[in-house]
Amino acid sequence: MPLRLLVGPVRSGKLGAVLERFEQAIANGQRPSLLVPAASERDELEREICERAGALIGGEVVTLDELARRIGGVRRDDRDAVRARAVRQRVAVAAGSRPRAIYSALESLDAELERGGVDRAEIERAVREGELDAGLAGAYDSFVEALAAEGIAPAGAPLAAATRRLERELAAWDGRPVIAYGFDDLSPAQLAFLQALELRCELVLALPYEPGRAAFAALSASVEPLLVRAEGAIEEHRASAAYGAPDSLVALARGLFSDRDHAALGESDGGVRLLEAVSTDGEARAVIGAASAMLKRGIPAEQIVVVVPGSGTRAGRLASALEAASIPVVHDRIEPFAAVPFGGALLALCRYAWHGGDRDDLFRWLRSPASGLARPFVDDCEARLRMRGEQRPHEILGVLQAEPKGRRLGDLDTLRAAESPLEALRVVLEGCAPRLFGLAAERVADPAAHRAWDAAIGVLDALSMLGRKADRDELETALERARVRVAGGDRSGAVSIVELGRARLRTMAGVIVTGLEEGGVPRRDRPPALVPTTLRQATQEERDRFLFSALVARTDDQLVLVRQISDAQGRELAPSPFWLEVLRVLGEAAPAPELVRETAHEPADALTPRERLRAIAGLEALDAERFAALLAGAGADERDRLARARAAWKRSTRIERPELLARHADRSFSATELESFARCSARWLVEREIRPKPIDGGIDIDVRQRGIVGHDVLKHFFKGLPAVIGRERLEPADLPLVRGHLNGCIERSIETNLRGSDPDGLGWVLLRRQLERDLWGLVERESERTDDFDVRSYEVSIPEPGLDLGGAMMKGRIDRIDRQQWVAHAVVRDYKSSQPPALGESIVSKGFLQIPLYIRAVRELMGYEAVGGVYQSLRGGGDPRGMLRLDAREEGLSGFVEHDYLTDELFEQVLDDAVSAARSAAERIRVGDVRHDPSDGDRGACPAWCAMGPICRVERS
Amino acid sequence: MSALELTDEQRAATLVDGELFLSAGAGTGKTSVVIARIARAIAAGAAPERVLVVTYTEAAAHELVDRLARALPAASPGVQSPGSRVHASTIHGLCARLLREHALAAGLPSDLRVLNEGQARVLARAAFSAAVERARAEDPEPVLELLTDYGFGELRTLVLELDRKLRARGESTPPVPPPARPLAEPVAALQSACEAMLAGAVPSEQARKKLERLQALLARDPAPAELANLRRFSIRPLQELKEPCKAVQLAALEHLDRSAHERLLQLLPRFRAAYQRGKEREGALDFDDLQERLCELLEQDAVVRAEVQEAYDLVLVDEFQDTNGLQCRLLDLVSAASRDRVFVGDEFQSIYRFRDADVGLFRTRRDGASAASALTGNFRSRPPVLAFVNELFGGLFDEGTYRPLVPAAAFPASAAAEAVELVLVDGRGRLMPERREAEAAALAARLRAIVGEGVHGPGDCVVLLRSGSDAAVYERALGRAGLPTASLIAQRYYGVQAVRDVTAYLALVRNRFDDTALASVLASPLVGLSNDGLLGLRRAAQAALYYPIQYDQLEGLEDVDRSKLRAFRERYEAIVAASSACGLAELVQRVIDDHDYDLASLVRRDGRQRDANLRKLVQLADEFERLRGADLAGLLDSLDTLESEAVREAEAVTEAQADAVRIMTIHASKGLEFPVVAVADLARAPVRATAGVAVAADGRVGLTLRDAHGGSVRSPLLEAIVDEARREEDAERSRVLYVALTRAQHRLVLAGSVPAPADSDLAPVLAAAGVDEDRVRAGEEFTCEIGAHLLTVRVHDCVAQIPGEPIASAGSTAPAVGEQLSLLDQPVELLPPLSSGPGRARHRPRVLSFSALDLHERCGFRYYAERVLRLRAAPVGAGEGGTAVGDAVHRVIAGDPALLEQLSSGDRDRAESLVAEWRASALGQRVDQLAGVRHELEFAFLERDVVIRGSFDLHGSIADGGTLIVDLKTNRLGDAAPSAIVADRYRLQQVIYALAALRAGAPAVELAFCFLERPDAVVVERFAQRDAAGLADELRDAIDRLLSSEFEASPGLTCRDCPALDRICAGTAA
Ligand code: SF4
Repeated sequence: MPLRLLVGPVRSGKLGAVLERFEQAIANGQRPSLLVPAASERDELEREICERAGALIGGEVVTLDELARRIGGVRRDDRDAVRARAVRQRVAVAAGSRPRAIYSALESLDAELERGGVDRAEIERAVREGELDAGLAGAYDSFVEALAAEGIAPAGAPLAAATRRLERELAAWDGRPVIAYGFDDLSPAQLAFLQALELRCELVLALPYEPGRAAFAALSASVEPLLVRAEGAIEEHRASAAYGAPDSLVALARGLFSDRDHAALGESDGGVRLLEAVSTDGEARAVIGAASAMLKRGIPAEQIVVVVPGSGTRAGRLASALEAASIPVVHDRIEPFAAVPFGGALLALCRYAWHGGDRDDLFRWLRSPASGLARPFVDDCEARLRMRGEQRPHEILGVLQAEPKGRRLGDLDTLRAAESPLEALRVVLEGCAPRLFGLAAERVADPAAHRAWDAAIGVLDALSMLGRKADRDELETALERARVRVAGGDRSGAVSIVELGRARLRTMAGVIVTGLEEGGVPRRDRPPALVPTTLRQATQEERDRFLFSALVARTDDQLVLVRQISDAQGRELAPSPFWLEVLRVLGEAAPAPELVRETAHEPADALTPRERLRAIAGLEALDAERFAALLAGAGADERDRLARARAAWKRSTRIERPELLARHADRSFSATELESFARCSARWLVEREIRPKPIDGGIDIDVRQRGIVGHDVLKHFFKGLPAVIGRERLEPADLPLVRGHLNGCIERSIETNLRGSDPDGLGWVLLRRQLERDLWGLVERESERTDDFDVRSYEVSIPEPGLDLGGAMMKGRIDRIDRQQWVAHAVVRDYKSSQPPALGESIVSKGFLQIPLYIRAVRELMGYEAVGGVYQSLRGGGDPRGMLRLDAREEGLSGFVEHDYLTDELFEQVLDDAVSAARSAAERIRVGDVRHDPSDGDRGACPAWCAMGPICRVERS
Repeated sequence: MSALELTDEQRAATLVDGELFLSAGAGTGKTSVVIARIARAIAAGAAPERVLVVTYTEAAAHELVDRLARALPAASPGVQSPGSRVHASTIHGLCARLLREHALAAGLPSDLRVLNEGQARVLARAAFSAAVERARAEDPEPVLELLTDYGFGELRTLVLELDRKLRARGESTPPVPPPARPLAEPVAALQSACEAMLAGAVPSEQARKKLERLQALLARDPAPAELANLRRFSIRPLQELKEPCKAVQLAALEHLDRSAHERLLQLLPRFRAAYQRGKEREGALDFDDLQERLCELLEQDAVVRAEVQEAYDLVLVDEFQDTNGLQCRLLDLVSAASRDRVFVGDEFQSIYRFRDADVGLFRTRRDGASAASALTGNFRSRPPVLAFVNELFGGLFDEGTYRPLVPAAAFPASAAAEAVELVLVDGRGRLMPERREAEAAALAARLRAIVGEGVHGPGDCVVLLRSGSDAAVYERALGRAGLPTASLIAQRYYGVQAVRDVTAYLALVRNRFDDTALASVLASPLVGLSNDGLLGLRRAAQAALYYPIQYDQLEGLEDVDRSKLRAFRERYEAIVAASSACGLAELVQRVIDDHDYDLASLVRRDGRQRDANLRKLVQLADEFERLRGADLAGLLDSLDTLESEAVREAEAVTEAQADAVRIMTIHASKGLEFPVVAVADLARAPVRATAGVAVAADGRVGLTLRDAHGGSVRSPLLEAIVDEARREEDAERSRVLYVALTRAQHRLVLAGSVPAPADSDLAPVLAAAGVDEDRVRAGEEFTCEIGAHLLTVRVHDCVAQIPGEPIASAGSTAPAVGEQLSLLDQPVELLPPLSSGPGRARHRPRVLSFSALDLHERCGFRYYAERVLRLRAAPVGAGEGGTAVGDAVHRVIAGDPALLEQLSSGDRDRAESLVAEWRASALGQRVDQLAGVRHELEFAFLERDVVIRGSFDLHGSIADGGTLIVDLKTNRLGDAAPSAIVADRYRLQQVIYALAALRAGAPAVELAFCFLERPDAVVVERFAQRDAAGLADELRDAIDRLLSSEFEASPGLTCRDCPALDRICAGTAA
């Protein structure tokens, strides 16, 4: 039967003609089929017909895929796609060394076949003739074979089968007329199908086409041969001169990408707006502004569409922005399974259960509502594990199962224990369904979770149909590759966001097109797929030219074009050629581009109440008078919020509540505490008073813990030394004897300090080894000492009532005091976790108060003449540093660093300074005088290592 | 000068065919030459796609394309210009494109992803941990030794750095040092030296003791680590021991070096394998991989090589002086077959040694090039600026190599004002930070004065610094001088307060018992709790700080703090609840919005910057999510890595920065030009980084070693490599200074303080200006002659005070306004309670059928399970018999007996008997008589904006244009009467069928429900157009019930085959 063509540009009345024919065929009782490319178009047309005719009876609107499957007898099973992916993965893995590449190549081949962009026979020929990469060709053969063995129709098969059947069997189609509409660019496979259909029925094909116009260049390859075939049966539709749209829109519809002259336009008529946006944030604001303006103009929301160039993240970003601006929006999207929170959590559980995943994996699942566990409980368990630095799956499980609610880790046990990972995962999914969707759960609160759950069940169903059951890896990979279709909300009363290629068929009152900057629209061509480039019909630019001009022609009231003029890094972006083309066509009538900033600095420019408030806030520092004036006119809620915003920075660092200060009124202070306060009172407050406990232990055991263990070891080592060597003083010759003693002390000390942590955890193992090395260094140094101070006491408490600082008492314990045998001279030692700097005269100014205070205390309260004191690093190696009396050097106080010896006078001066610094610190603690006053950094700046900034709130550059 | 108007030397350069090596001095218009060269090629017939330009930065590639697009307009409307079709990219961009195009041959997925520096760092860190774990499991001792020596963090830095350096050199494994010399000999020598000294007159008692200790050490056969550091024995009285000690140390270090190498070489491949696995898992390559993989592909695959090489007629490489060996090899491979090749560069602008650029390559290539030319005519700078540049660098660069820049542009008469000046601070006796503060103040005053002259605005000025670490000093000083600033120093983003505050909140969302995060959040403007409040909370908490908040045990706090904590808890718990269903970007945005943190940021003087940083964080979270999904722990880990590794990321750019004095590093200014350039901090002495590891030219690795007590000692090789590197660094320092000075168009301000350290930039600047630093005094102002031009020198006191008053203080608040605002300083009001969480998303189907509506009427929850959740019946045990018989019967009556074959024999008998009953029935006979009866006829109509779809079993026309619709039912009837069943179960179906026919225009409808078990008891209803409104009301009610449904369960008979039963619903017990 003859092919009849209806050709003409968009807005030439083709749709009306198509519907009339369709309705006429219904009236004739011919049960016609109206053939469209995709389901969304089927729904659109079905609605339109129902609206026109009241109801649709006796004819169908059908997609090409549905019709082809019906004719070809190929059933539709969504699970086939999952199975085909699994088969492809198996084939790629079997192919050898580059499975990802082979998988990806097979996938793009299939995509081309599915799209109809290439003929299967052509690929098979290329395989035969060695035109394809040998590895890929082999893999392709195996793939086709494996699909057949699984009974899965390969990509493009339904269309091919239908074409074959139409060509061979009369009964393939019962002769009902077919009217095809909405096919812009017919692939070779689609063309072949229509040609075969043409043999069996009356076929009318409506195509958007205007010969010779650049806008339609993308279609010429498929349309030109049809024009030849349909000669004599071509109904040409001319573009309507006017269709109710503003002149500027009509001019664009007719003039875009056309060399023809058009009548000059008058002034800008509001039909087109051009928005130049600063970066992505500006773009979102431009879209919000344009959509609100359209709504204000009276355009119903469902008549507004926002068009984005491709499937990137722009659509999601714009959808969130519109939602945040309270503009209802519908945005259907397809997400990778792992990107949906439920999917990510399920995959993390699988990783933990099957592939040695870590703590974060397990907790990602436990934190998800699917686990059924309460968040505080989960947080508590995690906090404990993190504090112990526990990462190893086995240990984590042990700890968790010991918890009262630990038995609820059933999902994990199920996955671990089951022989069939597939069935185990099904049990887990079924198990979490009541938690997520049961009667007690919130209905429809998280549609993405529903869809992801459904997709996971779909994957299991599909894989369970495979000849060889999927193993854990395959199961995980299949889940990772699964796609979740998330419906974007209620369509009625909502602005929709669609991709450029999908904004077809419908006419819309308001259209907002984004991406009119370089790299946006036209989209760049993807790197060539594996198919010969000669088979590709049009470049992306040609195709986008058609889509863009069709979109413009389908706009009835207002078209808003948005281009970014700079990106997030502030780099300028050139306009797209389409933008320039619009300017060219509109000529003088082109509206002036409007600049849309990233954020509103002027309250009057604000698009939403929040923006307005932000703009007012921004004026506070720049124009206080206007700020005050605007504030006066603001509502109570706005005033409150702005007041809070300002007050948030006015935090006094002082401690003021008497109840909090009372604790310090009569108490004594330790030297460590005073030293800490003197170094930075803000750090003192955070570290010693607020004491936030770090949650992450990290691998290296923290400095404080190291210090505690180190002190403990040395105390026991030296106390036990006389029993090992028979005297107090250690000589080099004793070293071989004491090694075992030191290691024993280390072992004991670690054991007492473990507090439930795993002794084989890397942190403790390293600490043990480092202590063995560092403290051995210290012991060696001890044996090499050349001074005469032999008698030692450890952890000596400062006697009551403590050292009087003048208004405050200092108490505490001194790590070690060394004395001379027959003279009452003493040296104090304090162990430090790290190597102290050069001290001597600058000991107080560098914030080191402990040693001078201890010297004073020993002298005043213990009856010894303390002639010096040093800090000694527990890291071994380094020289002890501190302050020593020069005149005592000749009396046995030798072997210390030259720089640290002070004259008598200076020595006394330093002691006095230390006492007064300590007194001042004590007084300030009592009155809560906390400030940002670091003295141990670089000229009053905070030392680089201090991490308290986020809590003490110092402003650091 | 427009792109295509060229000088003679430029034009000559564009006319060379074949290979050209072009040395282009700063500001000599090389881009114009490049554009003209490309235009010539295109005019001669080359397709734009066959031109390849390789630039050093993305920005340069964009700029080039932009200029090309303007220079070569499009031929027809709406078509891209040929200029924008030229392939211009960085070398990494080129590699990524070619690898994607040849993904299969390269063994890569075609959707290959490229990791940026931060992402690669995060993966590498994770890979290091995995490598350590694996090494521990397989062969623990070597890795534990390394970890003991270096600690986990330091070892990680060392391994990552070693790997990076080796890869940049194209090496994989460094050679292990040769076996160390035996220790015995030097030890014996030292022992004899000790003995000899002890036998003689020992200078002091302490010296004797030291000697004895040393002897004792040597006597106990010490390990090399114990001998690696003998510094403690080399006291002044024991000078003679110095050399023998050194010999022992050297030998000991050789031993340590070798064993450290051996251990590292066991760990390195493990790390690489783990890193590789990580990248493969993500289908990603890092920057080094891009180059390595493409090189490998082009060298090994002749087909791809030919294809790539034949793709370009003209290849231009810009900034060739900054390429390294691997890149050079790659460029040769890509361009081998190109007819024309142009290499453009300037050896004096080679400043990327830290990225392994090798300026030697440039020199070798240039010297061996078949055609080489040079551009020296400078269009950028005024003659006095060029005179100073030539004076300074003529002396600094190797004699004979420097080609003076020749003024080539005409400047307006107004340009006669002062062009080059030196701002000096007399800092004698002062510490460097003080001097820097004073210099910044003096420079700020000078720039303010220049802006005050009215020729240049703040946006015309730039302050260039060699290092960004003190940029804040200059930023503050400029701000105090009333000049708006924009810091473009790319290093601080992850450490800025706003980013850290929100990151702390995210950490708290992850775990409420993270005390550090909680304290940060509470103290920050997110909550604004006072220190009293924090302390009160600590007193109230026995354990974690969150407990008192959770259980509202806040009695000991001030009212205002208590209410802040309650408001915080409310918001926090809502955010936590939402976090399980929302994405990361949304989460970050919600944290900011719910706590009005953006408002708190915006009220600050630098509010726009803070706010832009927050928006950038939302974007970064979005980017992370696209790669890894909504993995909060992963995001936090990544932010933490980026912060702790000080990964450079520029702060967000704000629009306000357009008319502000920009502050940037000299490196970032390369390729740019500014009317007024201030090069500051010239007295800064170079900081010599203490490299923990370095790779020598021959591939050997120098390491930092550990002595027996954990102290660090550099291996002799490391010392040697570092010395060599230092020499190269010094040469590069001069080139960096050259780049800085040649950015200036009209005015050049040089600032620093005296005395100038000998290795600072200021020393040669003073020498070139002929200034004797010993003679300058604060308060002086004088000029020096540079050729025919003058240079002004101003010397200031070392005070951080900015002379004069600021022009205007943008942030100052007039007192009167301050009073008006005092109402805001009242104690903070309570936060209003929030409304409960997000509303339920409504279920809005676009299409419904009778069965869907009916299902909802029978049980809302089953509808929800089947149609919303799409819960399918469990795969096993579903009885199919009933529906299969029904389907087959319908098909047979429609004339297709095929389905009968698929039934069991019992079902088939039943189906056949039902068909027979139908055929024999009165209705069956009546239908047989009707003409034009259609079976299974689809219908659709709209109600309440929902398409109602269905299909009639039988549809035919009867008298008066009326319609007969027959619905065949295969239900088992039992005792029930058909009419009762229809009334009870099928009323809605009647409504829908009748409406469909009436809407399609039938004046009347006869609707017959025929139960095939009793085909004579047909239930018939008749409807006419007048009934349509009532029917529509009935249908609308049902639709409305569904649209507003809460999906309540109605347990009962419907539960029987419900897919929800016992899965998400307890059925009859529910
Ligand atoms: S960051 Fe600075 S002010 Fe804050 S505690 Fe540390 S040293 Fe003190």
